[in-house]
Amino acid sequence: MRSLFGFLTGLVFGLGFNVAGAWDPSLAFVMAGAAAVTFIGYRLVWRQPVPVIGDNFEVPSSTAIDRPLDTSIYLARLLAS
Amino acid sequence: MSLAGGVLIGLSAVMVMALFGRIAGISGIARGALGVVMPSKDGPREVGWRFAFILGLFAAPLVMALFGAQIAQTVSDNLGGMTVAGLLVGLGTAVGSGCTSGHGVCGLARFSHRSAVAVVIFMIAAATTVFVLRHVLGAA
Repeated sequence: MRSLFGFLTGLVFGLGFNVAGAWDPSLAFVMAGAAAVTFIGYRLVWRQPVPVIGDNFEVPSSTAIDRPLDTSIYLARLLAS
Repeated sequence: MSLAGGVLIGLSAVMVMALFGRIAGISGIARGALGVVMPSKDGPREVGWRFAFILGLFAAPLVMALFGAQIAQTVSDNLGGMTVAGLLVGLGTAVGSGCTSGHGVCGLARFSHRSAVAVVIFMIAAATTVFVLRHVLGAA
């Protein structure tokens, strides 16, 4: 059951990825469209106490913009310079 | 088509949250799916659906081809380049605690500041990389 739904969710994701097309600046629209749908969907989903076949909702609680991210900031600066 | 694809990706992310209560980040799911070959802290239950999710990803273009759709995605046959790129993606998503889907879709949808910072950085890095490869080095 879990595997079946795992496969189906992956399939939908992959369909979206392939429908959207290869990497180019329009990837920003893919991300924006996906984030908008997810924003609304998450709020509907979180009205339930627990997921359908999972034990709990697990959402990253860390808000620190910390060392690992710092490292990527430096990498990005290096790349952008 | 970008927007339609994005809507499907968003739908998948919502389904993963509704069913499993997890963030649909491909890098995180891939790391979890590796529990098939090495022990995972989440245990075998979490490995199964993640592995199946990856299979679903691979199946998507095949299903589309079955229905005669044109696949826009191409995969480079430059094995060396793909190996280096794959390693860099793995390293970057591990250091950055997520990828385009985890930060860009799920993180932004949660209004996570951390994810917003990550998205700005990796979009700049990605655009710079594409620019350098195409216009400075002249590769495809």
